[in-house]
Amino acid sequence: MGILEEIQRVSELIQRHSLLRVTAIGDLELLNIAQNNSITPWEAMKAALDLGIWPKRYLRNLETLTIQEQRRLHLAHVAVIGAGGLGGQVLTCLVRVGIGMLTLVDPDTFEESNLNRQAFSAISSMGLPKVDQAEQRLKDINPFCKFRKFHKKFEVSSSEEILRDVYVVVDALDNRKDRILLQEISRQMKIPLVHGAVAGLEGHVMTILPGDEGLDKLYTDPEPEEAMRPEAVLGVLAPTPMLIGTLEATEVIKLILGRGSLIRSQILYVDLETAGFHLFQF
Amino acid sequence: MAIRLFLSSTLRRYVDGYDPSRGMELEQVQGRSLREVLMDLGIPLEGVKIVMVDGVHSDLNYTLSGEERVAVFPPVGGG
Repeated sequence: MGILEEIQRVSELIQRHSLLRVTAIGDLELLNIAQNNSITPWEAMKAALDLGIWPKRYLRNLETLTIQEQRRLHLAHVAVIGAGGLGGQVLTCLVRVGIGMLTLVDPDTFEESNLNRQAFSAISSMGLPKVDQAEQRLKDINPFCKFRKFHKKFEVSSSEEILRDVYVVVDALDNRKDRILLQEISRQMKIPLVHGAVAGLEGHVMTILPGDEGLDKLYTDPEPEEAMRPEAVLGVLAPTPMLIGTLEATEVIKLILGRGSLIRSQILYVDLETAGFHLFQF
Repeated sequence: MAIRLFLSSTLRRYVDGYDPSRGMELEQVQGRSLREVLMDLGIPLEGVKIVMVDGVHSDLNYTLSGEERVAVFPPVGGG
């Protein structure tokens, strides 16, 4: 029996609600088919989506996403630069919604001061590389995603390898210098960039397509002294990177699917202290 | 005539009693540049990176007509 026939054989009809019945397949069945046929879980998932069969893990995406959109997310490759406060949230959102390929990049290991906000930090992860902890947690959430990881800094020498075949890149960095370099390289490689940054209870998001002015409006060169850097003065509270990371992940999904309105040539500024969401035009 | 000035993040620390929900009202500033007004308030200009006037990007040289809503931001860069 071929893989496609096997997928159809173990799929079942599910009454999603009174008006909708769909054919769906479970994770265990898909993982078994992958193992028995020496294909990767990613390939088994793709085969199911090709057949128009809903993986049960994505049934609650149904009707917000079409199966074609779910398939497009599975075929998309997103790089997230940074696996800390922003990155942890961006990656968690993307792997749950069903992005099929993720590149993780972070040179750091977890330390105690990360525990107040970074999704993948825990007592058990102290001293361990952030990218390893991220991969372990994300694989546990979604074994059908393919991962590439770089336990290194994003710099000119590593950038081409990191961004190879990437459709969208997410800025989840924590300093201006690296962000500006990331923008420069994404421009050169013509890759859309989703930028987010936080301090205290405030943050902002902006999507930058190649050719946009982007960060040039937001940051000065060189890096300001510590007393003039809000994140150094105020620190960062957990809700801020979790919200801004969620908004960044949503921009990624819209970019991949070509849906909705992007936060482009404008900035979405959020102040959680006053519950204010403001869109400013550039 | 008064402008309403909103300060973001660390810039709020330079104005005693600043209310982040309401911002602050400044009267009789028409004809003056935003730079002068911020300097009078004791806000360090090197800490101001983004200026928005009535929701649109501007800069410190902007001359106030006296009725705008102005928001100023430092360069927030944490992750």
